[in-house]
Amino acid sequence: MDSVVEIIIAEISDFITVESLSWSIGITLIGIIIGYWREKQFIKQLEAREAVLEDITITNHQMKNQEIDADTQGLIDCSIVLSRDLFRTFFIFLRRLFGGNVAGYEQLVDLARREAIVRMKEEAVLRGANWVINLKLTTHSLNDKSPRVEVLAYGTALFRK
Amino acid sequence: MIITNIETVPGRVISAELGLVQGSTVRTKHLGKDIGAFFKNLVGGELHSYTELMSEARQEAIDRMTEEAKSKGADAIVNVRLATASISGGAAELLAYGTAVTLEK
Repeated sequence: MDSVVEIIIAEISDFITVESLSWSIGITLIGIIIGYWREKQFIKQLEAREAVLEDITITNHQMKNQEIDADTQGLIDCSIVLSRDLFRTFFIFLRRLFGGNVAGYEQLVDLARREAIVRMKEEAVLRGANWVINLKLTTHSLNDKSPRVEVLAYGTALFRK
Repeated sequence: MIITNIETVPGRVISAELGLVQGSTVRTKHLGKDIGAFFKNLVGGELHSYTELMSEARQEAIDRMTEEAKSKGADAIVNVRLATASISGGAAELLAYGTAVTLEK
């Protein structure tokens, strides 16, 4: 029996050497650190842009019962494809064993949605609009294997006189 | 051509409805960019090549819809909806549909 185990260990150690193991752990660590840092930068610049664009009103109703004194600027649609780093994806896989809230994905789609809305506001400013009505938000998964989520925000831009 | 996703065109009066118009497109990125996106996926963040792909494709779908509306003699398209579906792998279908209308001058 012992000899069989020894043979198996010897076979495995042919594939997994100390060197290759330290390489993969190193790459994982670098991936986590870079991913975390990039996300922090992303949130920082998103908050700054949100603060600038605060005065643009967004509604998700059609203003049917109101007299709208406005010029139509047309449809605007803005989207973002956001992904989560593969290493944290692994922790999300572990989460699936127990079920419950997946905080990692919650944060991912929340960030993507905020970014899509900010981009839409920026597009509205470019077109000289100050009002976006009937906002629709859709979320769409691009790939099942790795978390890539596309969030689309679209609405009608108006210039309120 | 005025495009809105509400039932009216604010500031204008709709004179006639010409019926449904739609445009769709199925697009994929070339493999090189797919591989690039995979490496980008290692650290997470925005996948610019995919964002570009989706917005280009969406514009194409809207353009096709607009062309159909123009051939009907419409001035505007109201109540536009945008839909996305993955067909397989990196290919995505984008659909835009709405109602073509004419406006009072």
